[in-house]
Amino acid sequence: MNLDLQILGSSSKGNCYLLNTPGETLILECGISYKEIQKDLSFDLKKVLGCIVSHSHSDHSKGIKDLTKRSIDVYSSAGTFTTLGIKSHRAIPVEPLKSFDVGGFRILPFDIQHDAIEPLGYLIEHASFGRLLFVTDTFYLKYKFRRLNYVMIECNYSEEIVNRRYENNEINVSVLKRLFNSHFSLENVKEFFRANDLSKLKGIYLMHLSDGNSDSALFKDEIEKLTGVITNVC
Amino acid sequence: MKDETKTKIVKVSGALVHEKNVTDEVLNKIKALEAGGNIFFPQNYSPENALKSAWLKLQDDPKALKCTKGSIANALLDMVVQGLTPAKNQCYFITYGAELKLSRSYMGTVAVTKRLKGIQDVFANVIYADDTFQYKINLENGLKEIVKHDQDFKNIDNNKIVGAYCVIVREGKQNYVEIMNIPQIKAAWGQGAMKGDSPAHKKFPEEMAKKSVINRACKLFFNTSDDSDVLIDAINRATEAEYTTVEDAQISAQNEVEENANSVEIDFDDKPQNDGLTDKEKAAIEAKELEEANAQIEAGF
Repeated sequence: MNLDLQILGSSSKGNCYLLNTPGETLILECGISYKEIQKDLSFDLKKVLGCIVSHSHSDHSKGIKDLTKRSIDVYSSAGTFTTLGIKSHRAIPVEPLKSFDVGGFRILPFDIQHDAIEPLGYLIEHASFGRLLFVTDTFYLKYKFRRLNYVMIECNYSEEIVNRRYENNEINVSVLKRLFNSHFSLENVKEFFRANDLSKLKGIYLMHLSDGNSDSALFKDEIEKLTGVITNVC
Repeated sequence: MKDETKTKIVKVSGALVHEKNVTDEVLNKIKALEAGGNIFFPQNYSPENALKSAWLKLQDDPKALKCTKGSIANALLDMVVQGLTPAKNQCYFITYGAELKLSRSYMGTVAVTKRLKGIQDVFANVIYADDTFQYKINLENGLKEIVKHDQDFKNIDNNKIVGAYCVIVREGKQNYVEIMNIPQIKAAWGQGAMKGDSPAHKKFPEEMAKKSVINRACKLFFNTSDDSDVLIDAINRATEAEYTTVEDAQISAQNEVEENANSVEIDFDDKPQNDGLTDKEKAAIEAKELEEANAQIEAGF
């Protein structure tokens, strides 16, 4: 079965995705307000089993408090909850490389490389769609994976575009220095695909494209050419 | 009202406990280094006062306070080891994500250079268009020597700066001289966050020119100095924080990607290869274990 993914937001303004299966929904990131999430769910929260959050930056975590108040379990690293000052029995700390289950979802968190405290990526398995890798806000991935069916990966900027804008003084120097050490470039995303087992891959979702430093048509084209797999830009 | 006061007191005492923990940790490390003879302080330098003043600076910076405790302690330690204090504008703190780093001002650079073994003084002068300036290269050792610098008071004109030089006066050795012409100085300014376009560069180009040449002379000096004590380590760490340019940031990120990316396979069922460590991390741990084993053997176990 194909992946049923609803994209509520995928940029530095706010990230949130609904991963739907026939009977269960998992929220990936809650970087938009609870009200917006509710609207997109048509106010039907019965199917929602929980929410996983990658890190503490507000474009990924804004809605955590509201979700926990509405009795939805939120899973992230202890560092994320401490940084945000969230104390709730619904805020469930998870550790890298220790898998856990949320309903029919089996989830393996792993550490990623971003300038936040204890950021995480997730490998998610469900009988309905197989294996999905969800990884955002990291400048590379230490890990590689077997038998991936779907990949949701950040593809924030292209080195070529960024270097050109730097030459033309169109980009703030401190923003740029941070970018290299915190976000995935098209070039490094390609390296990721070259290193991984793509034999079972059915779909790719490129996320979190930067407003000024990306080109969605080009990114889609380049990744499709490299992998031979249908690529969507979120 | 009563409750508010209570919360305030709790908050303040919480901050004090945090301060005490971090500064105590730094002071203990300093005492250990002092006891081992690895460190000495300039006269009139009080590590306690410097830490107090640094802590007050950090209170105004919410981002800095959110940095990891380890990085705050290390930045403070680097400050004390170099004998610097933010109260004299010798250093300041920068946050890189969750990491706090110490960066030195050029006043700080002059102060620490003077503390290196065999260094007596560091000074810099600006060369104006109408000055008579001559230097030669000593072919015995490759060092530059200033032969003549005549400057008339009337020559001073911030629109006519043609260069600057820095002299490091050494005990029993020829002076170390660094010279930069104005295009080189402007290229150095271009590497900074403001690309040489700050109000300071516009109003006081003579001071900023001296800063560039002092930084270059001292930086070369730290790297070529044979003094391998803890002071040099601390100096170089603060230099790194100051000199990170866009190109440096890009290169260091790419190096890390090339070393670590896509290197460890993981899955639900198995333990990751190498316990989730990259080859480099694994090698570092093995080297450390070997070192410890050797130390135990030497100690007679």
